[in-house]
Amino acid sequence: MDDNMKQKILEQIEEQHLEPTPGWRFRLVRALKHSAVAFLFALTALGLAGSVYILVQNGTLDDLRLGPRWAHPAFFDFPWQLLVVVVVLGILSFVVLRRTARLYRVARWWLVAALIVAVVAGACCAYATNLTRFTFRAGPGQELFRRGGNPFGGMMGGAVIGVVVSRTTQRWVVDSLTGERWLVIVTEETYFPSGSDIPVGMIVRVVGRHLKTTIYAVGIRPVTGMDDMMGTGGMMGPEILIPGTP
Amino acid sequence: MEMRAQEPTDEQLVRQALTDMDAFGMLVERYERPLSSYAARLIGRQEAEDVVQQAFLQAYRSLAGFDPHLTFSAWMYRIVHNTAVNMARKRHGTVPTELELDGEMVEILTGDTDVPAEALHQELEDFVAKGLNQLDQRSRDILLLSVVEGKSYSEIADILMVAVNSVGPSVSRAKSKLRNLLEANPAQRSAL
Repeated sequence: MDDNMKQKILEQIEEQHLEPTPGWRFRLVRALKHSAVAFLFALTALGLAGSVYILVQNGTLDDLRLGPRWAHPAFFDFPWQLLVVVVVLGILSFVVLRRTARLYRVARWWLVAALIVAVVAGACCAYATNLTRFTFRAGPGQELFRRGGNPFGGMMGGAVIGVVVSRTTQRWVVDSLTGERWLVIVTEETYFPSGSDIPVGMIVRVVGRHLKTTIYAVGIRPVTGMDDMMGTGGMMGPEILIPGTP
Repeated sequence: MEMRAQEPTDEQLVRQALTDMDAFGMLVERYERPLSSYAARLIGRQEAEDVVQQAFLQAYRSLAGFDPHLTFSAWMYRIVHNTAVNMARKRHGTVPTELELDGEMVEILTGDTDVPAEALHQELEDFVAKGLNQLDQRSRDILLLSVVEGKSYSEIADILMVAVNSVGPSVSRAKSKLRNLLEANPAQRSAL
């Protein structure tokens, strides 16, 4: 049987014109798999980071919108249910990774511990590099609220509250309550609350990216009743202001 | 002093086989016997030949994807294992239910049990085979590879894609399960 088998196998290879699949295909598939796994882990890390932050800020998961800051919110503004998805995908990616990269040889608990560390580190990196756009309705009085909804609000720009001194279609001048004068660039992407009509002299809250004395506005909202604004029961309830929301 | 030409290693042959069919033939020669035995234990002698042939053809196509961190032996065993399980599922709708055991295997599996007579030995083989069939797939695979094929824990980990340090406990658990199954049956107990 043995001699026959070798002969049969070699004959079949010749008859079927079999050739070894080129190495680049294996490398490509491997790279795609690992990239997909890395992407899923990154999503998991972002989801975890967002949810932890919200809980720290006494918010709820319902407050979370997760999406890349550089993407248009119409397409990337996911509800908290995304967390469920990313957790499931995270587990899937764990399984796939374990079966494709010889990680199956590593004890499961060591792997889980390493992955937790990796996810937490990834979440920290996500915050540190400010690649994410988390928006919260954390409520008045929260530091997050004052900074414009971004945990690293200073890096993103945060919110400026001030009086509209002058305005054209695309350029507004706003004097902040801290005495700075800001040129506010308004684009078609800038968000205004529906029905808002902001005349010169009105106090507004501008959220956007800062560049020296210029703000590229992501959102502008009228502010009424500055007194007790940050206090519980203030006039700017969470339903009125959504800090950081474009 | 006898001078022997140094035989190429499996890994060297794999590299050569990408361009040289004879090198692949040498690999087939080296592994067809152990792989055929393994496949026969997994799926029966009738289908073992098909399984091994398919496995070698699959291996030939995937030679360029061979992971040099693995041994060729472990890689081939994994392919044969997967091919056998897939074929069994396709043909029978379930994993294989018939295992061909020999006396030596039975002795190893039943531990330090004395087997007094050939007739009894044959009876015991049947009982052990039935017991193995009642085990879950993973336990049966572990026992076949560790006890029958004599594979190291590291190789078993590569073949079944499990953590190395989980193989030892798995082997112990599988043996324990098998012995419990055998002891639970009165007829088998009398045979033991």
